[in-house]
Amino acid sequence: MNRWHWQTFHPVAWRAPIVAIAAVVFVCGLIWQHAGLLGGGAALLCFALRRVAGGDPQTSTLGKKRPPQKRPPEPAERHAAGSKSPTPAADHNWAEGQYAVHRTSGSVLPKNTDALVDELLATGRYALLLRPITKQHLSQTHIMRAIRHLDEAMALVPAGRVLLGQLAEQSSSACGAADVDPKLAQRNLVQVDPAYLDRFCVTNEQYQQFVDGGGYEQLEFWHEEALPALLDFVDQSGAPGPRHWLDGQHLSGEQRLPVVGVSWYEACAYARWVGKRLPTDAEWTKAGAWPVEAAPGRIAQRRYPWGESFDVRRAHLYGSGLQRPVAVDEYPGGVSVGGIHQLIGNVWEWTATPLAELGDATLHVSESVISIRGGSFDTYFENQATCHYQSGEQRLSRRPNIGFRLALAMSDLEADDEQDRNELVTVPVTEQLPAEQLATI
Amino acid sequence: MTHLAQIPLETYLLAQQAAPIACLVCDQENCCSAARCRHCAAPMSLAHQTQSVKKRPHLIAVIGASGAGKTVYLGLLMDMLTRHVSLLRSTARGPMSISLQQTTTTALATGWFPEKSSTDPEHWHWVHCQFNCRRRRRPLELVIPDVSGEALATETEHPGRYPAIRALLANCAGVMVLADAQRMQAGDHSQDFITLKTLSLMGELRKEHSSRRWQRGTERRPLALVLTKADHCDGLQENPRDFAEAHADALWSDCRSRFPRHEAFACSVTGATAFRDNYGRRQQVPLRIEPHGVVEPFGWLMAELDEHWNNPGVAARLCGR
Repeated sequence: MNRWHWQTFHPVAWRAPIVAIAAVVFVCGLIWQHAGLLGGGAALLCFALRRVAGGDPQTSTLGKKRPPQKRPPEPAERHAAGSKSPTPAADHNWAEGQYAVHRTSGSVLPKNTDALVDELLATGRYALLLRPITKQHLSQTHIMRAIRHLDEAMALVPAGRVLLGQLAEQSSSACGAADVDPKLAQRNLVQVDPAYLDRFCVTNEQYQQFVDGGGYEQLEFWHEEALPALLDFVDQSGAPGPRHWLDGQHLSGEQRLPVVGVSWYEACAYARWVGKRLPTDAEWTKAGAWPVEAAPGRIAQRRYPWGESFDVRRAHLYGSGLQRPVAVDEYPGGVSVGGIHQLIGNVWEWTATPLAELGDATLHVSESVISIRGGSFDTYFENQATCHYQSGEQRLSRRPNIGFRLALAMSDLEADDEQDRNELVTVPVTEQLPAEQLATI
Repeated sequence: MTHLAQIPLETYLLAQQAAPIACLVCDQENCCSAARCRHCAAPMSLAHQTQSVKKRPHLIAVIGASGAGKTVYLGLLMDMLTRHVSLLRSTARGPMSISLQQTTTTALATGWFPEKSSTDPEHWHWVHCQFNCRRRRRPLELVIPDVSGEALATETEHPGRYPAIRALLANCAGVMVLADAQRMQAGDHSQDFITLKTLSLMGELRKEHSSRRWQRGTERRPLALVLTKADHCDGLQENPRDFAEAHADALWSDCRSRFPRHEAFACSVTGATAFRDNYGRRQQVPLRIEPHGVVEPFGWLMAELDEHWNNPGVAARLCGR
């Protein structure tokens, strides 16, 4: 499927009309002496002219100054030399459909495949290596290393059906599975394809690599509708990053804490960067509730990943007393059947599903509200932190109690050639990969 | 023609009349067996419960316009104090004192807000609790009614309609003013006027009730301005004073000028809200409950009320600062 994508447009092609429109708006404002038109036109004109003019090397593609890189930690040290921000020419490579060079700000291209694989594995981007399109260029050793990383970091959620919504709560044995009307249950059953789900939420340490790697400057990772808001995705000091960070860095001692203060768009951008995606609501529920279909339409689901009743020692909710997130590997007793940690408690988790799509006809929420799952350290009632409880939040919200974990569909690792051609895979290029083959990506 | 009739002499009835009991709120005398004050409709159990206590409990007035969040705030506060989630702890005195907590938490846990408080004073919830701080031995007795915002507005417009409110405003030892920060940020100050009127009424009643001239001078009662629904307002949690100055200038100035002992706080109970159809009526519902800043204003008020609690260390701990 060859869909039109905003990135496929040549930069000048869309900037020139914007300049023209801005100029017209500005002139109209002058003629009619309309303050709104004047202001809007001037702002649009400035923005477009800055984009056309480019900027100095320290300036990102959005014209925002990069913060001084105070702490180039271990993974980032490899990015230290050869700082170069993405250029319109690099964008243009996308447009021509040839291949993508991920030139992260402050990064050097690896010299060979080994170095490339090392770098991708160090930054947690093993999923990119396992894509069929990349896999075919790698040796068996490299593939096995990537698979080991996948196994360590992600757990398999098997295919099957899961019950969503209010009925799911009733289906748990604590509420009496027999009370659920099978016909009603049938309508709320959702088929889930096999997928991998992160064992832990994404940590500050992991997200730091995305920030250091210039993730906020590379527009190809971002949803088109998020671009106007991209300048607002800054930390306390005004540098790109999660809301509660400082100078583009997470606070010291919080490496293992889940990254919070990120909007849904930031979570999606990170997911694209590592080659994964946010889990759907059904995938998340299936991972936690671990449904067992004893008979057709008769599904027993767990209320909590460990069983039917809440246990304060297994999840970090309000009752724990600590009113802030804890490290992602704490509360090991709350692990799910599949080996996924902290599905319940610590931080809410963004999913890929809008809350309005979840079938509750009586609830009125806008399309921009996304389903969040699992409860957080400040969730007061235990019944609002079950595997089935659905809450929602605006996509642009950057709350201190919402983080995320990522998923990877098994089908993405087994995609056929036709699908590969249409997929935007972000593969760094090395000299060992033949250019003719890369041209087909 | 006269008939003689035998009427039993029920001495206990006479005894009740002979030993009336004063209402804790309005001080009016009532029959010993009365369930509610015949004058202000406050529950007489409050008076019975405090008969054995030497020191009269403090009355706390929680005021604010309808929809400011008084019921949710008070109900959740009581629940949090009962759960011992902070340094402050409370022990309810009498089953009646648990009703507000029960109604509020039951509604919130099932994904609804509690019903609006009735304008009928007989249906108001009255909380009588004994508050303890872990580090202090001496408990503090408080009586806190959950007064309807509409009734407050009516009383300011038509004085004397609600004697309980009048008595509460005159006799209270501390004030909590609840204001909807979300509305303030949106530039809607219509509700501020109800609060301003109530504060003005409080000032007048204090002058009326103060028997001595020196008492009419400085206002000694502490006032906590609680800006509710803070989860919807950026920057409010970090600096409520700045927010009050920026978005509620008139109200904040009035609070400061009338009550030298004042402080502003931010508070939120829900994480997000949505609308749900309920028997054909569209109602706002909470999507999740995440209380923040609920205990802090109350802790500050406690520290201000009692000199035994009022030392910087205890106050800081109670206020979470």
